[in-house]
Amino acid sequence: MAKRGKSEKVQKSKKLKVSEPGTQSKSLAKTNTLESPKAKYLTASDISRLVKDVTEKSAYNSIVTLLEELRKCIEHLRKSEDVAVEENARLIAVSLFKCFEALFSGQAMALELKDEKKQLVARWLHTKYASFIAILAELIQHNLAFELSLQIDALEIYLKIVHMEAKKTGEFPVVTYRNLVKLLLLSEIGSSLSDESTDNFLLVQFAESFSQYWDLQTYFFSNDLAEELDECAEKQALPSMLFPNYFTLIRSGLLYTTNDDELRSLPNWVPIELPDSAYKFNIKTRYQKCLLTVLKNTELSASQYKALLSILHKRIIPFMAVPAGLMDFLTDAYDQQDDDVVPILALNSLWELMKNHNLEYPDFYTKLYSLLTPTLLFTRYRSRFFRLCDLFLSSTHLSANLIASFIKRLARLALTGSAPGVVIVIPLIYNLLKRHPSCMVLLHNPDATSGYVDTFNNSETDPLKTGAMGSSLWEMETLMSHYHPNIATLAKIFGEPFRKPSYNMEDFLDWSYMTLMESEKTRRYRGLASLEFEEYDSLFAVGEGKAFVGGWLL
Amino acid sequence: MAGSQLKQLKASLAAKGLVGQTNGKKGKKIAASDTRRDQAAKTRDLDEIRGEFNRFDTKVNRTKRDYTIVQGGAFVTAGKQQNNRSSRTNGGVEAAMRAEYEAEKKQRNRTGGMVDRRFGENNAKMTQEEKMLQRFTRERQLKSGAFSLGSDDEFGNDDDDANGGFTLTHSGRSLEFDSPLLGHLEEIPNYVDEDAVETGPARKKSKREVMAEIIAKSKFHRKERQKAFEKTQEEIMDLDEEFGDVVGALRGQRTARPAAIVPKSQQDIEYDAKMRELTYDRRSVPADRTKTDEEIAQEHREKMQRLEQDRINRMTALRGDEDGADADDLDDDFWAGSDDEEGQAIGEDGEEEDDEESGSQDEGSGESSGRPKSSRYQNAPVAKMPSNHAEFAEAVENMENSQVMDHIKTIGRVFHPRLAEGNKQKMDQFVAIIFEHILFLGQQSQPNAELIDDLIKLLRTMAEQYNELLVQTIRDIMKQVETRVVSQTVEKQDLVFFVALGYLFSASDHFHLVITPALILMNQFLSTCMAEEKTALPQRLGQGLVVCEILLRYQDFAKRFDPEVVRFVEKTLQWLLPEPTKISTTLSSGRPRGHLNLDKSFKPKAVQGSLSILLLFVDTKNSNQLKFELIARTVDVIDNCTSLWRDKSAAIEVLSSWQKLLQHTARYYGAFLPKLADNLSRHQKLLSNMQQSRKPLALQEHRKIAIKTFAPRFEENFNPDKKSYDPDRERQEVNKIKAQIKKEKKMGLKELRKQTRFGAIQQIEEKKQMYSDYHRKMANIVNSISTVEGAEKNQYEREKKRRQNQK
Repeated sequence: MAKRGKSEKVQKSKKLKVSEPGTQSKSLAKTNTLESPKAKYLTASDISRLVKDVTEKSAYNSIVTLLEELRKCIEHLRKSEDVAVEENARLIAVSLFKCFEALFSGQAMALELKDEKKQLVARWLHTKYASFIAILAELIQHNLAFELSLQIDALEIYLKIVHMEAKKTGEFPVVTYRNLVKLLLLSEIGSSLSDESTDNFLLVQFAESFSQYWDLQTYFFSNDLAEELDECAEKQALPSMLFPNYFTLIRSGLLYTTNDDELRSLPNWVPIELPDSAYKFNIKTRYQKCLLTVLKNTELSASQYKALLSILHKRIIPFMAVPAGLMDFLTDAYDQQDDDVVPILALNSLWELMKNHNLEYPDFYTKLYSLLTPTLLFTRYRSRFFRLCDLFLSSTHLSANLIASFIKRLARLALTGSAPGVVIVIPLIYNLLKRHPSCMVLLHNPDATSGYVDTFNNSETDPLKTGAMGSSLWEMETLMSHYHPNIATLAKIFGEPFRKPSYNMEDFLDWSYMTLMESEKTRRYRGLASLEFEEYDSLFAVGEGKAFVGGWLL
Repeated sequence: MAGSQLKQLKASLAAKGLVGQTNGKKGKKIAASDTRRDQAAKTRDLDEIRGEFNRFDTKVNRTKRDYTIVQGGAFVTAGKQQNNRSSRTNGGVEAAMRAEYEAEKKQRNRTGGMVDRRFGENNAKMTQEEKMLQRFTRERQLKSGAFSLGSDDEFGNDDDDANGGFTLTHSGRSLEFDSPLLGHLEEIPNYVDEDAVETGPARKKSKREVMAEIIAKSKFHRKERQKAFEKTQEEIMDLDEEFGDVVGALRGQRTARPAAIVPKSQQDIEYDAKMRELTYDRRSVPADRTKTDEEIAQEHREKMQRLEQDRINRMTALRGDEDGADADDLDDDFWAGSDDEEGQAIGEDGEEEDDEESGSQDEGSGESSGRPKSSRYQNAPVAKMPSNHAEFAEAVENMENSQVMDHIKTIGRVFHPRLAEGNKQKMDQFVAIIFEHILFLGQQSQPNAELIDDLIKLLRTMAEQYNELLVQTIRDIMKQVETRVVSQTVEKQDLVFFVALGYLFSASDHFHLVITPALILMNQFLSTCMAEEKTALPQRLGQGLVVCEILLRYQDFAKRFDPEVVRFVEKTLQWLLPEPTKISTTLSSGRPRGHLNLDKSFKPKAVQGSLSILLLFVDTKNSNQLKFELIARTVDVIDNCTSLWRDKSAAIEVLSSWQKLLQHTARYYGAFLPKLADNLSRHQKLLSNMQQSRKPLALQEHRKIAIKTFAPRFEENFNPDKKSYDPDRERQEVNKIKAQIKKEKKMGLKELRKQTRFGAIQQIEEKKQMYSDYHRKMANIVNSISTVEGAEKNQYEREKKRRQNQK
């Protein structure tokens, strides 16, 4: 409101100045003093007049004025936040785009004219056009004093320019678009969020169109981009936000499908028919090259590592030409010793590679066995791990020794496991026992000699040599007296005939203390709560009496 | 019958009147037709006689059985047709069918359908106008015809309808027979024809007349009754008016008269009182025998045994679900003064209660019943039921412990549920407030432990009676605790809360409304506060240790296993002991970071007595001593766990893991923890014992599960008629129903056919009957005619003969 009021005032004063220069000079001076910082900016009517000059009268010099004005506004905005100026700048930017659009549709900017004069004009216009783009680029790449809609405008205009140029030339403006891509990826705006994406509003805006239009995607990943990134890396000029920016764009996957018809029917941003090369398989190659370049040139933090791994198998590997290229990356992640979670996350992608891309992982089960650490039952990703673990151990052709080792190790973990973790372990062991009846000896071994010794060696890393077959599942028997009534009941299945073919693991994977608690809360109130009849003299340790919690004073 | 065959024959013939002298006179008079009939009878009789004398020629349908049985309370011949069940039922069926047929026949051509006798209704050629005209004329004709043709034309006057709504009037009055106008007409002799006179002296009254008469009579009677009623009404009014005078007169007299009731003498009154007392007095019963000490002890023992058994049932979840868990019945005699005031107080309280009860009866209002009238309470602060905890806290803010207890007891006594309606709800509320107050006290920086103990004991006595709302409150509080636990913090009041729950409720139950969620919460705390070593604080470890101890106390009886406690204890030692990298791997070992661990060079002071929970909630700069004390407590907790879980089969794994930790502890602090060495050796012994005695599991001692077979079962006595061999239960049912339907359908059809056949037979018989009747009638007529003719002819013959003779 205030802004509009001011601009109207300015307008009014100027009009007055034109009509009656003498009479109103005083008031004009007054307004000028009042509006001193803003008075030097053009008004909306001025701008529209200038635009009209350009489009109708071919008075191209107005472009220079507008550009100057826009620069001035941006200079100002860089220093401070000012709504009125921003509004003005937006208007100028849009008007300039309109000017160039008009010029493009006419013949004014055609360089291949015979007329030398006109060619001169066209060249001159092209330099102005380039400087306009440069201004936009500056807006997109750098932080201003505040998040501005002007920047979003700049992005939109840039995309429209891509659209316009494509319409003019009949082919996708690769260079212009790559510049934009570079600007966005190297942009310093924003910071990374907890899920390792960026909160750069421009990038988020771009990602929206990026996820919709196929041409934006296919021309995004180019060899040149990879090269340029490499160059930047050599010059140590890569910003820290590169990975979050890149991650934000690719984390939802690509539109690419192997079905050619479907691929061709995808929507495009530019209004032209794309060449066949845009639909070729080599998009995958380019994608992979870009990704590897980014990975090569950035130092991933632990959380970035996890974020990348957690989407790798679903959203990235399917779009890579030779996913085997990730092999080293993944095996490194899988073999990592410092963190318990990273190998678990790498497991999914590794499995993807093994299943579909002929990756051979030596001693896979040994490695898998080594993942069964005490922290496993407490991590957030345990359901993810056990889903796969169930899959890996589903083969009935695995040796009984191996399975017994896994069973025994899992049982050992459950002995110190969280309640939700124990909930997973029990049905998993049941399923394993059901699948491998030779392991039933773990539950039922009536012919033990008198000098029986437990043969299981918990510290052995090779699952074939742990000696688990000579052991017994005392852990599970102990868990039959678990404090949680339902878990205790669940554990009692080991003492009952194995009638059930198998448990559906999905029912057990996603429990947590919260959900356990929730199910207690929703329990129907029935009967009275039974009371304790044993007496204690005090709650906490006081004097001689029998205390409920001895050893602590209140 | 004696004599020879011939004689017998003669005799029998004579008996039938076939031989010998016949009555001549009679014989002459017999008409020809009679003769014919006699002929038939005679042949029959002869046949009979012949058969009688020729027994070998007669065919006898012999009955199969010739003996009597009792059937329906009577002696009947067995197997006889009429005693046969089927014949009887069939006979019944036949009778029923006959009855039905008769009924139908009776109704045939009588019911159903209306015959439209109106004029020209179905005539399409007539216009509406014409139709109406025709109808009108027809109607008029019919009516006038009825009037003119009716034999009782005089009565036609009565009927307005018959005259088309016209009545004969004379000067506005209708002309009726009984009216005086027509009175003289009755004198006029009625000239009627003689036949009518002959038929009967009094003409039978028509229905309409009878009805009219009845109506008139009833009207008359009603009028009479009304009149009588009005009359009595008037009389009553009169009497009412006079009543005032009468009463006045009576009053004047009454003062003069002496009272009829003689005042009772003192003796009588006493007698009455005694009588009443005796009436309402309970029959005297022998007093309970004073129990000996042994008996009392025995009773107590039994009660404890029963409670124990209940607890075990609940623990093993044996009790059926429909039963639900109910409260242990605790001594509910707190308000009878069971604690501080000794036996003397019991009597007092009893009296007071009586007083209050009678008081409330006198005044009859619930409001005032809350005021004790006893002088003892006049000085005491007025008991006011607090509406929420804040109010209560304010009220007891400056009181001593004993005063607070007194205050609560006063409230409890005044608002005893027996005293007034609504007190139960108030007391429910109050119990919740007491519980909140306990937590409130626990949260104070200097908690009043004694008061908490007193309050919790009090609450325990009340918990049974006010169970439901208490549980509700606890569940509400638990929600708040949960939010704190999720954010990895607990407060002092939460610890007090968990302790109080364990104290109040039976923690050994398999499932418990309150205890189970509390268990989950505590374990959640244990596992979340151990999530990251980076963020761990010794204070939080201490809180966790308290929670561990509470958890172990919960499992005091049920001895349930708690994996989170195992992990917590191990982790705590691992994080606190110096040089954690030297500890060999335990059950839950991770990579130690050495963030909290004590320095090797630290020299702790010996632990004295119990640790204060307060220490766990203040931020101390130098926490080394605290850490050491925590280690000491952890060692205690380990000891506690060992004794709890020594019977578990996996105890070896847990204990051997702990053994390493304890050894590590002993290496540094063996000198400062006097019990540790002893513990260690005990552990060692226990472990080796267990390792020797442990045997592999044999959990699957079950009968072998049969493999499901899909081959059809062999039927021993297969019967092709039996339809129920289908293994598919549902299909068998469907087939059964289908067969039933088919059978029913058949039966229905059979029934229908039977009925039609019966009807047909019946009709044919009727026709036969009709024809034979007709023929007999005709034969009679012909016969009579021919007889007359014959007689006439004879007469003519005789006349002719006579005349010839005369000639």
